[in-house]
Amino acid sequence: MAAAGLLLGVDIGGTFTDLMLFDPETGSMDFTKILTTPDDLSRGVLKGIRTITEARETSAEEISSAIHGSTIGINTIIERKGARTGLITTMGFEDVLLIGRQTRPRIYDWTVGRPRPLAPGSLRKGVRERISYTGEILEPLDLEGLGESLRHLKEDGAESVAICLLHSYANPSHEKEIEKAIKSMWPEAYVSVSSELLPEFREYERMSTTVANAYIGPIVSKYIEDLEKSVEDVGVRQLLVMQANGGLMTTKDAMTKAVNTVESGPAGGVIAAAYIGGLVGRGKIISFDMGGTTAKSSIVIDGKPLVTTEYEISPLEHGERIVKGSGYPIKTPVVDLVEVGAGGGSIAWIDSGGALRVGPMSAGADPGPACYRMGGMEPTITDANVILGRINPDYFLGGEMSLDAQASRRALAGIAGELGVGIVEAAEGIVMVANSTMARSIRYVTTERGYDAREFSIVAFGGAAPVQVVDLAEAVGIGEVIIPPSPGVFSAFGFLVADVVHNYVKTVYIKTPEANAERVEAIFMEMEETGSIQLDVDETPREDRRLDRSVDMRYIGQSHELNVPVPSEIREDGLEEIVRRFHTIHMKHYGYSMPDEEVALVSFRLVARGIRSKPAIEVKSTRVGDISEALKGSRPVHFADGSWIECDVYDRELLNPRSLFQGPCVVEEWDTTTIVNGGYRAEVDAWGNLLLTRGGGA
Amino acid sequence: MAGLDAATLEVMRNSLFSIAEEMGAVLVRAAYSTNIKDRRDCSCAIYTPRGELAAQAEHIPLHLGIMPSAVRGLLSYCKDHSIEMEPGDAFLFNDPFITGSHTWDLMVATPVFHGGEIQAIVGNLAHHADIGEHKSHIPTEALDEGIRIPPVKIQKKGDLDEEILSLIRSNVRIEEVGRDLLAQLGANAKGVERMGDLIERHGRTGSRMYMDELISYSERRIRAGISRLPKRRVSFEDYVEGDGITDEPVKIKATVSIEDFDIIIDFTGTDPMVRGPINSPFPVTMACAGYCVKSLVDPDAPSNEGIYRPIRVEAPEGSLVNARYPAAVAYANSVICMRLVDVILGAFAKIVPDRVCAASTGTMNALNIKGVDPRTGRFYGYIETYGGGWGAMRGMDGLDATHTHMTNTRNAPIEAIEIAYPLRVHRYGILRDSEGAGERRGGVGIIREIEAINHAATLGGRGDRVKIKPWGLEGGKEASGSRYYKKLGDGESVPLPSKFQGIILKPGERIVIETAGGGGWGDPHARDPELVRRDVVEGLITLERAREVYGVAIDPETLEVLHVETRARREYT
Repeated sequence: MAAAGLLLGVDIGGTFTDLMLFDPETGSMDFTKILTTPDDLSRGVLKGIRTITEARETSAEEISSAIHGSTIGINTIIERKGARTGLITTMGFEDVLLIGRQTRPRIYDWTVGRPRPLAPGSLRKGVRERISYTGEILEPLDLEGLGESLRHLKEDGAESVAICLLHSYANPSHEKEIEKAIKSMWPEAYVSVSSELLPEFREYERMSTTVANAYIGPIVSKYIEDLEKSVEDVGVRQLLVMQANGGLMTTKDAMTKAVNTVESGPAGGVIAAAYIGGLVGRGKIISFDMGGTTAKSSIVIDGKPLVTTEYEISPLEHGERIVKGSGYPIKTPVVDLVEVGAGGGSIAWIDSGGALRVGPMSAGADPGPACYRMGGMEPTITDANVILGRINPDYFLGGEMSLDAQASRRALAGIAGELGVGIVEAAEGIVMVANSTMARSIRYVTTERGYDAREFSIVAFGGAAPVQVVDLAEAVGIGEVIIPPSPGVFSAFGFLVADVVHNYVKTVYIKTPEANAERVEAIFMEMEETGSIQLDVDETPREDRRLDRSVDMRYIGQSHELNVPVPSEIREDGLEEIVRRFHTIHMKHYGYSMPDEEVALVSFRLVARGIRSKPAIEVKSTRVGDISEALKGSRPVHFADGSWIECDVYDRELLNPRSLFQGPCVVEEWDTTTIVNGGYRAEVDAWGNLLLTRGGGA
Repeated sequence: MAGLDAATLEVMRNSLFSIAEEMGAVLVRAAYSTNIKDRRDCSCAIYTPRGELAAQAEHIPLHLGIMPSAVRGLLSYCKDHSIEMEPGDAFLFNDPFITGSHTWDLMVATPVFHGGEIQAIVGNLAHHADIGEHKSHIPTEALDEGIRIPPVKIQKKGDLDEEILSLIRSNVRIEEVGRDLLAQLGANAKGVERMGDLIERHGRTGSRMYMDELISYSERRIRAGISRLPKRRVSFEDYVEGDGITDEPVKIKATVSIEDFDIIIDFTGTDPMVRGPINSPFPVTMACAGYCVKSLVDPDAPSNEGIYRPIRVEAPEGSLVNARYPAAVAYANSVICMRLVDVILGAFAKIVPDRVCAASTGTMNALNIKGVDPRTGRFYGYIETYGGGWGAMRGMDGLDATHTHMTNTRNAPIEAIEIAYPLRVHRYGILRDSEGAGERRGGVGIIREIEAINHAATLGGRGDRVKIKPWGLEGGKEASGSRYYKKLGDGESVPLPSKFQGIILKPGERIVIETAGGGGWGDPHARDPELVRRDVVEGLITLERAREVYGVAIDPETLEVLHVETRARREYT
């Protein structure tokens, strides 16, 4: 898959389809935005391909791979437009899907319930069978009863079937038998098998994941099949699909593991941030994406994004964050994003206790902030930034749209009155509150996971981030801010730099006294074989393959594991080293360790990667270090310490590599504005990133 | 309040809340017992130096309500016994008359020193599966309820007191207790570290000022909510079905008075303390009052001391709702608190009828199974509480098969239970037709059936609402009651009372818990036939019940509503 040719990123959103065409040879990039065509999504994509290839005077045949991310999977669930889905489970446990973890999402608010199951009660069928947690068959599978249930599901109009039996992670044979029965008597049904999708214990989460996969599977498969055909018809050599874990997969994989496609858009941003971190040489990166309605944070350690297995699809939002337990949990790996309701359009308000609050309600793009003059009357973060001189009303979207600062002032008057302060102080308060909410989300992804935020650099993108990221970095104690080139379309860039990734997991419970290096090595070898076969299918050249092993471990008796990286070959004393690493990681996360206690190895994980060649985005300029032509004027800007300072304003497009300058100043580009605080040093690096660090002149 | 203060307050609120949550994450992840690690039966909080609750991670309402009393209890105990707090100290205690909770809940509190003075206290409470209580009979006095620990320094100047730990280990049946205590200490250590950073950033005076202001802020919000309620004084009463020793019904009566900015909840008329362990220490009663008021007037107000300031609870000393030592109180947390909530809400239903739900499942349905694991030869203790149906209210059905009111613990995954204990779960589902019918229906209850594998186990159960069922509102029907029974090898059922302890479950026998649904709201015949159909499709009610109780005829083949027949049924009956 390292074939030469152009790379195309395609991000199909609700309103726009973004396309990004990259030429690895010249390093040049082109963008285009096409209105999404909901009746037939591939029509919009084909139009986009035509537009972008014509502009470059090339043709679709030159595109070696098109990489695609979409929200179709997630929207199918949000809009509840999935397939009519049945469930086959162990008899007596048909309602596990309905009961969930028996909790309510918000403890004092009785109006918030759990979501309705994606497979209704009438289509949830129990079969007689029982397997123990050791994999022993306690009761054989009742094939007759199974046939009855399947006939019923078919007659009832089911199009898709999820199979999830108790303890199937320990012995998948009954699930496989059921799958076989469905394939033979009902070949047109989509089948989702829990032991293939997620062989891990804890039945509710596994069942929920398997059912979600069955629910969106037929829709996602059909869509990908159509799209693949359309782009191949015009000459694109290969279509790849972005996954929620930050890697790419083949279209065939995307069809059987449809659930892996959710959140693939935002994952692109994180991958892009990871890539920038690698270019700049930073080991610890916070990816911070602030758009119109929300801000998303996540972390990247040594080029690897952190992934979570506790993601929920379609949760409710309340206060400044999502309500845990109100969505559909999926346990397959998703890039670990924490999303808070703070974006440029977030609305400020005063609550009944007299506190100033920001979000999660947002004016969005329509009507938008008051300053857009599109009918918005509520005060937003963008309005506050206009009042504070941080956003230039005459250079919004490069001057394509002018903002009304007076409208912003009118919108903030009410809040200022209630608080008994001036308009500027109110604006200052709004920005400060929004920063505290975002700071909390950054702490969720760092300190709460045992990392010290102060050791990180923050890569900030999305239209709203560069305006206030320096204040945010100050609040959390982050020393370096990186603003990548074209922050507004940065997520699509991630599609082009992602690797092919396959995740494998195998739950085998081994206690350290009984563990030996040979057995552990054998488990990994088996997974590596599966992974290698997959990479063969992907046609990944040998030299581009990476197999990363790790194991989830805990002290015997605990039930939350810590993931411990494992070397690629385990020799005799290798196991002791793994256990030593576990104690160290436990100490780091929880503040203590118990080196004398026995340890359990629980889930063995393998990540098989096909490394793809990365775009070189080096800026080729002859006028290195010269900033004179970028200086376009000055204006007064308000800073968090309460001061107004007359700041130089630079045009980002005209800044040359290796330029150095000092804050306070402003850097404007067509889709965003970066505010550089006093005491900060700004540097444009060889790739066009803007690096902001504390230090230098006042 | 000036603008910038409002902003800093919000920053402080976010910071304190995230510290409490981080403590919770450490505790849950490092814990050993299924009850803490998987079910998350624990809570974390941050206090002012005076012991006022400043911020709490929202886990379990009952803990949230008790924890303000717990640290105040600690401080007055230290004062009475001239105990000095020093940097690196951590206090452990579980005396119900100090924590307000039952003995299984171990509280660990750690002072946060900065500049030589206590600037805050961090604490957490976790429910352990065994505390050395009697397992063969229902307790009738405090000392039947396991080891009772007054505030002791489990950690002195940073060093763990191994002697205290050994003393506790020798008095409990299961090994997890000692290890989970280490996780509790780890959680507080995280809290101390993060509070130190916070105080560095905001200064000592600033931090204190804003913690106080955060409490006043919640108080203002609750008072603002109260001021909008109609000024009325209303009583309601209901009965608990026996104290576990006798079947004599025990009366709970509450009179709620709404003043301009305060609420008075008076329990005069409630029965005196009883022999069985259903007596409630005052903090539990206070917690229930706080829960009801917060839910009704401002569910979003930050959980801290300020919530309770506008509430005055009058609970006659020596009554069921203000028990004195040596009363047995072990079931207050799992049974009585839920009934107190229903009684308080019953009174509120006459004040704000649109906001109050009918009676819910009415107990936490706690089940414990203890024995020696034949696989290891070691003692084990399984404890789990089961949810039930939530009461319906105007415009809203009650939640199904969920934990109600004072608790919100997760269930233990079946696969986790079978790995951890010599038990096999045979059924875990919703209890069809158990809802209180109504225009808005109550939630359905839960059924769980568990077998002891290759050994005899000892059972204990803390339930209620078997005979006196969850009531409805505005013509809504009562829900079906709970049932607890043993299923013998030949399939025969042996009923158990709502409160039991020391029942033996022989190998191959099963214990079955069926929990009560929630009461309905309004006339069942006024329920939208489409909603009745949806309940049938979801398997919550049967076709027969749809027809007989709701008057909705549904085609058994297509599951479509038969409108003509439905109209006829509803007009005729």
